[in-house]
Amino acid sequence: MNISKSRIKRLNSLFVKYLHGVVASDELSELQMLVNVSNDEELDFSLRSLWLNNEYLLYLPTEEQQLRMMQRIERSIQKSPKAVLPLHKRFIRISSHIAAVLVIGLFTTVCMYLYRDNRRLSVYQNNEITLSIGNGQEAGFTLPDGTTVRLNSGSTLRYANNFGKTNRFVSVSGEAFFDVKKDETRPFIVHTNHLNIEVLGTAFNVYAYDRVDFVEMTLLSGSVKATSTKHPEYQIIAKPNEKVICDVLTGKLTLQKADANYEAAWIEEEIVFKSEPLSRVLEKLERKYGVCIHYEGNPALLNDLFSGHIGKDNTIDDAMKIIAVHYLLKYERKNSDLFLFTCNRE
Amino acid sequence: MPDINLLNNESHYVNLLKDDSYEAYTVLYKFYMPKLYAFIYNMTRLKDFSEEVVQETFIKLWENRTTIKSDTSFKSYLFTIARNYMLDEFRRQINHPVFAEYINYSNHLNISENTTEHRLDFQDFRAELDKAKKKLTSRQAEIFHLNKETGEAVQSIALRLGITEQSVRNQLSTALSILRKKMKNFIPLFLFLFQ
Repeated sequence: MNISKSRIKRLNSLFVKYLHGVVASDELSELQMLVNVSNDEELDFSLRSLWLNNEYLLYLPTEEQQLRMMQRIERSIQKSPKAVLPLHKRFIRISSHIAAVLVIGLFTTVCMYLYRDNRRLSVYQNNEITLSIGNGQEAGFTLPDGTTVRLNSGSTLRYANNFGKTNRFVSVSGEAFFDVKKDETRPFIVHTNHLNIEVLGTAFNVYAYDRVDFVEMTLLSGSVKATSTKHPEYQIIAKPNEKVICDVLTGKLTLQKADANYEAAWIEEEIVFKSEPLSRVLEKLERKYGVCIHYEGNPALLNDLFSGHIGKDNTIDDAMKIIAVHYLLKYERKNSDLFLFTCNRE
Repeated sequence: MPDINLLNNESHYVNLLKDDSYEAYTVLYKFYMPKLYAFIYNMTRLKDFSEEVVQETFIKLWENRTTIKSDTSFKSYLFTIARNYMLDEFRRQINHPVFAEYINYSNHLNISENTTEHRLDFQDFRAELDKAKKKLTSRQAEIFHLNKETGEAVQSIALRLGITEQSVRNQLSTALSILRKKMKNFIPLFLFLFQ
């Protein structure tokens, strides 16, 4: 290793200014020149001493960034424990020959707002690919491993640029249908805020919108392992027509019977309501059609259980008229703002 | 006087980490994570990239916890891991055509306001500039690029494009006034880039 002492000295003094944000224009071009003629060892030598002997207080990470980094570090190192393996092996055997359809549902409690630009694909510097679908839209695409995904309204899917190299890991917020390419050596893992789902070559549906009290997962066929992200010790292996409910506050999981065909009906571009509170019906319609519904009727009606079916040829106006007639309300529309209000009979 | 750069009882925590202690690991990373981030960000001026390097560094630290050598300091060991991710990116950054302008701009911000709200990393800066450049005609964009991003002189541009120097200067000044309007949120920038 041949290190020029005078060059290192000059590099050091320029780096000090550079790292403290006080480098002048001509000094920066000198630094650029020196960096280009120095090899990695020389840069290492200079930078290491600066790292060891100085404190850099400029550009400390924000609270939010620190939290994000900690969560990612913790999530990543919790993936490795060997104790998970036996379960995982068992899981391979159960699901290797069947296709599974899985639905994860969340109850939204807050009105979803419209996105201006409805569909965005962006590649960030850290090599993460994000696909966002605005309200009132759906999109289908294929992941690098051949897995096909359909994203429902108001949903986001994220995965690393090196997806498929060693693992198959995606994050979902909202609702998505996956037809996973079978590969027993690389498990397919779907991460949502409150629930992790691990599968191996199967078809399933994820319903995981933000701002919710409960996360639901319903399986059509096959088998899937669900793990609470908050308490990884809570794990459930779900069977067909079972619903796993995750309490967002406590992270606890419970198992119930469910009708999975109804949960996955959106893929056929239909909406099916089965004894659902009117408030949730309206939220689903807002997402599906990309509108904002203003309900100004009797608040007690919002808890009324509504059942119905909206086919793919029906417009939002059709749906709203049905609801208006059913509840003796008046319906009016101004662009994407829809109003439901009480008829005043004098 | 205690050295603020070092954690009290650091070697104690490092030894515990070698023995698989997750608690010791969290003590170490909570102490060093902000420092490492600031160092890498100051080097590369890329927010997402810096976060990524910090994450990878600490994940690697956990994976290799049992084989940490005692002959170098722990802080130096962290640098060794992070360095491998960081150097190539730093070389790329410092050779980018508008990096010098960005550094001028961000140094100016630090002196004048010192607020984190105005923290714009190099990637955001380039995105803003690219967006603004879409409003230029192709000739304006070409002249702006040659003069401001590659540093070519007006005379040389005039010769290459077969137009008069005055016409190059006119095109450039129109381009600058368009960009100035489009990037009005980043006014301090124009003290340097577009004077």
